Amino acid sequence: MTILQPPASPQLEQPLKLTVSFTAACNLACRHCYARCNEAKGRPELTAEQWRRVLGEAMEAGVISFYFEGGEPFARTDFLEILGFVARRALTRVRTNGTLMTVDLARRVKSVGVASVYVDLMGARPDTHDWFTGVEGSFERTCEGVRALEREGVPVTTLIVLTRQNAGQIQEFLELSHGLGAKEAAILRLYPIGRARESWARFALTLNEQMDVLAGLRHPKGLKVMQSWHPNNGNCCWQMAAVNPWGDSIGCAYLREFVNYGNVLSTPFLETWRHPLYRELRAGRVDHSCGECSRREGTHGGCRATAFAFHGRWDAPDPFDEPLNDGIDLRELPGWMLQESQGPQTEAGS
Amino acid sequence: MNYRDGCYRKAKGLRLRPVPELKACCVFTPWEPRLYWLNLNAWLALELCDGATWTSIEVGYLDATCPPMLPRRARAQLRATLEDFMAAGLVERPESPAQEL
Repeated sequence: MTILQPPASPQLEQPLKLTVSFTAACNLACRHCYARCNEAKGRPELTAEQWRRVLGEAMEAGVISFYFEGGEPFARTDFLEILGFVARRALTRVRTNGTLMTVDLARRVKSVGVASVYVDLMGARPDTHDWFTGVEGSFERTCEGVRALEREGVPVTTLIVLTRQNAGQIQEFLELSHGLGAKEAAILRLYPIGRARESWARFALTLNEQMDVLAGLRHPKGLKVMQSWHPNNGNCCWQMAAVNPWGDSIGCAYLREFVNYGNVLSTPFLETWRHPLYRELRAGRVDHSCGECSRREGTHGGCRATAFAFHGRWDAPDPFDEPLNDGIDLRELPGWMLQESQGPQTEAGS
Repeated sequence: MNYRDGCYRKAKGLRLRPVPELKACCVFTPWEPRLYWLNLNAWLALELCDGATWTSIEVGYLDATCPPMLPRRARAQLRATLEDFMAAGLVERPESPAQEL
């Protein structure tokens, strides 16, 4: 075929993909929220005008794919305007909790050119989901949101973050997703950031427990199932870019509490991309890596956020990858992770 | 229409993002939001589709790829590539070159 699959192992001079953490506002209050939504941050989020400037600059720099997330991006009334600004010039995907999605909104999401929408479920049952979100009835509203998107022809991928509380519901999650009309369902690992970091021991499973859940799954016919563990250990921080709601360039949304390459309101986006630590991470230098993940995904050692969280250094292997785990109990974060300041760093590479 | 007739041009609204580090070009199609990855030869073929006729594209393609590629193989590859482009909507064929003007 002439038209190829994306090449593996890119080491890019300029960014291709940008995650936009559009807002920290949210209508839910998830117990394991990575973004600590609705907690006072003490500084204003980027306005729509500022986002247009930053995203325009990113497209000039070569970004051709955007992934929007929050918070809940649809909680901001100017979000559709921003989608309309980028979606005709770059592949545009959105992650949402789905509760604000209506048929009318889904129609507008489709019409501005959004390629696909990712909807989070916290469990396959109302009580589990609503326990996580802290909002009674949110499960039903999320399911309605998925239905509305599918009805309007917007491809949906459902997401679930694997935790101790929902580990017994992952098969049900796949069946629920299929029943709602989703084309894809993705099972994601838990990341040690935000409120998940604070309550890590409560939510986290051992790696063996995680692998057992994945191994026992039966995939409903016609539903594509994705998962973010070995040998699919491709992770974004190597070559991706990300900007948080306040304009900090953080490389990857999962690195939000570990790095800050500069603020794009005061520093050109490409200058933050060339930050020495960012360049070092893109170089992919790790002390040992997983051959299969490296061959398939080009990641040379897996996710930098979890490697740094468990080892405290940037060239460490990712303990969520079985061949690289080295006996680490993923239920226990290192002491410094539980004690450190929780907010984004003001300088890179603490 | 025979593949030798008419001319070939990139579809309106395509966005090309060269990725020289990977010897590839990433192409975005806004009407059906999707990314395509092209290798060097496919990227060349797409760039040659600027309203040119088949003959002109063929000359440009063979000039850049032969040698080392044999002309017969290059012609076959070019034809398959343009068929892929047409199927994916990356390239359009106006009825005649005059329409392009």
